[in-house]
Amino acid sequence: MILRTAEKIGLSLEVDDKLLNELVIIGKEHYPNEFGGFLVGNYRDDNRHLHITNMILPKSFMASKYSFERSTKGIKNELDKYYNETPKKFYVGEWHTHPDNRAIPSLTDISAINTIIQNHSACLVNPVLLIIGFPRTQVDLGFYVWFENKLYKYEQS
Amino acid sequence: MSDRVREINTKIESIPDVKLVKPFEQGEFDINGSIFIFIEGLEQPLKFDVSILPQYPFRSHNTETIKFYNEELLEYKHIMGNGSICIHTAHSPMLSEKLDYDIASVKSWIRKYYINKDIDIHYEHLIVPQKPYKDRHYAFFFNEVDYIFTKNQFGFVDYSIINNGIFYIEKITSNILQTYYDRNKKLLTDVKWNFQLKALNKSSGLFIFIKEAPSHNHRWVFNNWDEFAALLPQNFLNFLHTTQESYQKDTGKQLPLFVGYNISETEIHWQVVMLEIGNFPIYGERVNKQWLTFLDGSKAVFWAMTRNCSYKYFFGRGRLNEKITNGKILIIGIGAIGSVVAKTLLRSGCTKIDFIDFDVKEPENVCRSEYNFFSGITNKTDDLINQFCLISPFFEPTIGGYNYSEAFDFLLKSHLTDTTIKSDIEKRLNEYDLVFDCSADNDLLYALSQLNINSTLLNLSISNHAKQLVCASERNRYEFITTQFNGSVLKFDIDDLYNPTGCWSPTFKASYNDINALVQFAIKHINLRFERDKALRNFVIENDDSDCLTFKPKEF
Amino acid sequence: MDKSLHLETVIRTHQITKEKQLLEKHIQKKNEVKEALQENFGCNIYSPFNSGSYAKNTAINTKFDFDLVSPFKRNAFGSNGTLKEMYEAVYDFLFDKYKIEAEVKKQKVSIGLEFYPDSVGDRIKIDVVPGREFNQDQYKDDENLNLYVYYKYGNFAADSERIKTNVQMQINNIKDRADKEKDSIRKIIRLLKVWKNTKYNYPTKSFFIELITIKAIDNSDITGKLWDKLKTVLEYIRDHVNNEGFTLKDPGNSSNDLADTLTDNDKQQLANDMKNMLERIEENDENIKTYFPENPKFKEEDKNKNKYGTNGGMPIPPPKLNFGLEK
Repeated sequence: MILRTAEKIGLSLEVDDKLLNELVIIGKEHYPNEFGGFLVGNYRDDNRHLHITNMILPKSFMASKYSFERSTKGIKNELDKYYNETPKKFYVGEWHTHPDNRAIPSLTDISAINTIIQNHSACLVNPVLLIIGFPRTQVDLGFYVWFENKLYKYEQS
Repeated sequence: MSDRVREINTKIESIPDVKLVKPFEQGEFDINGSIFIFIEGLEQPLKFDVSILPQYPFRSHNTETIKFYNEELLEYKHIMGNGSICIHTAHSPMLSEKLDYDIASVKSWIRKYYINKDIDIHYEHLIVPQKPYKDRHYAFFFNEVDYIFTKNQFGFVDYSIINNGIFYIEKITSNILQTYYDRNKKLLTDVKWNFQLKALNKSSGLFIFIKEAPSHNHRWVFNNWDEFAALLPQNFLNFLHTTQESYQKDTGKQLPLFVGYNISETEIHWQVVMLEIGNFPIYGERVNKQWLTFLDGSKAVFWAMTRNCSYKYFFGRGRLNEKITNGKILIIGIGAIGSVVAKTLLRSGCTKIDFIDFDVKEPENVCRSEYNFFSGITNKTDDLINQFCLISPFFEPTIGGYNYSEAFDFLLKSHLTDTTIKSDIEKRLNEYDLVFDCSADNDLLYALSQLNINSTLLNLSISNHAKQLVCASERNRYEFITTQFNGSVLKFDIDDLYNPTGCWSPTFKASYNDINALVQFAIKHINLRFERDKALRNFVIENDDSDCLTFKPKEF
Repeated sequence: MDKSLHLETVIRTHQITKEKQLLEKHIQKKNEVKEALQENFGCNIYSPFNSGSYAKNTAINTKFDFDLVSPFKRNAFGSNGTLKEMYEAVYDFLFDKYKIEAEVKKQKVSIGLEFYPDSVGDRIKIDVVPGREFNQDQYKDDENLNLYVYYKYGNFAADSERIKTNVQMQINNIKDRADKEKDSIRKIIRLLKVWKNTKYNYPTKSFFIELITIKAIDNSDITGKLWDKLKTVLEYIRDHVNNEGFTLKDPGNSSNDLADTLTDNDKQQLANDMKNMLERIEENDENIKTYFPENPKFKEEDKNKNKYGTNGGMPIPPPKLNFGLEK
């Protein structure tokens, strides 16, 4: 699946359907609790296109129907492994689920994004956020990117 | 003699041109006495019996607690049925000062209505005794109709009960007049009310237009049927007879009779007499081998209350400028801002108001918008239409409703480049004189700014904590609003938004009072522009609560 | 923000050459109307010419002023023919010819042709201004014309007055001044037109804006960057337009006063608008975008420059992160 942000900022994102399906299935397994993890990928086309290639599941987390807290404990090796591949792959953002709700970022989600960009060792200027909403029986996907102090939604291209 | 009685007697004697005829004495409740009052222009002083109630010098139920009676003055203006004159004087907590005011007021009544026989410009309604008919009072509301009645025209009417209430300590039923028919039940004219009122169950009544007021001195409504003798034509008495016969199965039930008369060349007023089926004030007598109907003059007339609820009286105490009230109005978005705008316009005389909103009302909306808890979860449009029908008998929604709202949003946003659909939307919007966009939807704002419409389009939005209200009214509305809200012009707090449990769209924090204060200020500003015939400009109203609260309007 | 830089961008996005197709459609339609008039009125009409902002090189691409001045001979409608007869004859002809494809409207001194949107939604608008030479065959020498006032035009009463002017001289005056002082006059005129276009039905004519800009520049000390110059003109209008005795002489006829094209209320509103605009921009630079917006159609996008940022090094996720509703 290839997505684009609003015309305004002209950034695009690509994610393999297989990877996306995998995330949806994992998310469903944790229903009715929230769940999530790390997104890995790299930038192409002169840094205008993001390709999400892999994900890392957290080894340590706490979750309820309305909250999800993950830690980075035990994932360092995996991050290193991806970074040493050619081309390099690295941490590009986060994903999590919204059980019984739509894929719209909450204030907590936005404040999480703020934590990422303010964290200097993250070195991530434009983190992406994938929310998988499970309103009723459907699946609602929302990809967002933080760009110049605003959260933009990617749209289907 | 108590101090109070003594004070009254002393004071009265000290007032010039006033003489004690019978000194004041304490009665069971009131203090009573008689006085002469003289003013220049009188041949001799006028005598008044005076009663002073225990509350005096305070007023009670908005009336003075001192009464000046003289039954010989009944034919004059501003005299109550018991012969007391109608006065309203300035407030004073001091008995002697209040007596000065009240005597001065009686003197001015004498000059105005007794000596000069002034006629007031405004019409004074007949005095109708407010007595219950059987176990309850009845009130009938009527409205101007576009029909000219001729003298002695009579027939049937339909009316509907709108509420059973309590009138002080007695029961009361309020009704609206719905339709006039001729004596053969052919439609004459329909009384205009909102669609929900029109849909109420109907009962029958009668009407006769007698042209002259059923009164003595244009003041006192008739008490007995014999007073009607000269006004009711024979064919109407026959009509009463045949009607009573045909309603035989309803014997004992009431049948209101609307009696109409002119109060000016163009204006009609209706009074209602409660008739009891089987007990009409008529009797039959055989004259020259023929049965004729006669009026039974000995019977008392039972009057109900009537109110003229036509537009000019209903909104008589205040409304917005005619350019707004006469206009057809569309309100897009009836949340916290839009519902307040809508209700303000409705109460201020607007009648043609449509809404667009595809949202559903939740209990948490009630605290700061014009919705009620009682109606539970329901579409905002439907809820507001119901409520508005309860408020204004003249409310006329034409479109709106949930389906229309969905279609509007979809067509506007998805077909902005389709010239046929775009021009169809433009045509529909052009039917409105005023369009309020209170949706706080930037996509809609953009889409609307792309349309070529002649309606006055106003976008209203509020920043967090109701710090500012932004109103766009010009062609550059999109640039204006986005510039105001882009974070570098208006200073407001965006971190502290209200995040309702289980819902993923945060909303701004502000109370009903916060929002209403700004919205009312904005509507007042807009109204003033219309009143002064000035072009509307974009504006921002900012509230500054650093010291004393102020609202600062800034025009762009 | 740099206000002058913004204003330069506004002017760039409003360049008429950016709307080539629409411009060409206007020119083509104008020529068509011109030929139709010539064919119909034959030797009674001189060659109609464009007097709008395009001719004066002060046009912006969001609103095309195409004014087609149509000079008639003195006796075109008989030696006793009136200006009203001229105006009506031109209206009748245009109405008959264009009623199917356009809305034909009687305007203050012109007849407006508003063509219905074409297949791509473009609307072409041309105003035909009928004028009559003073004396038979005199136009060739002096280019003077009498215009008919159809309805109340500022302080000019309807039907009771005629406007005498020399349109060619009007064009040349503005064109010459603007050519000489390219940087100031033309830019400011264009900016004021952009501003006027942010309002609905603003009563000032483009010609009024052109003349008042020139007058402001002649009477003030215009220095500094573009914003400073514009500001001086705005202040001049604010302080003078509503003064008693303020005049704007028509370069085509010095006895015409363009200030008379506005009512006292209009002038008061114009002065107020200038005052509000100056105050709001003073309060916050950003407000300049409201008054002088870029043409969104040609907004200079920097979207192509946007990239995902990297700070170098391997990005490491923050150790603990919360998602969901509970903080």
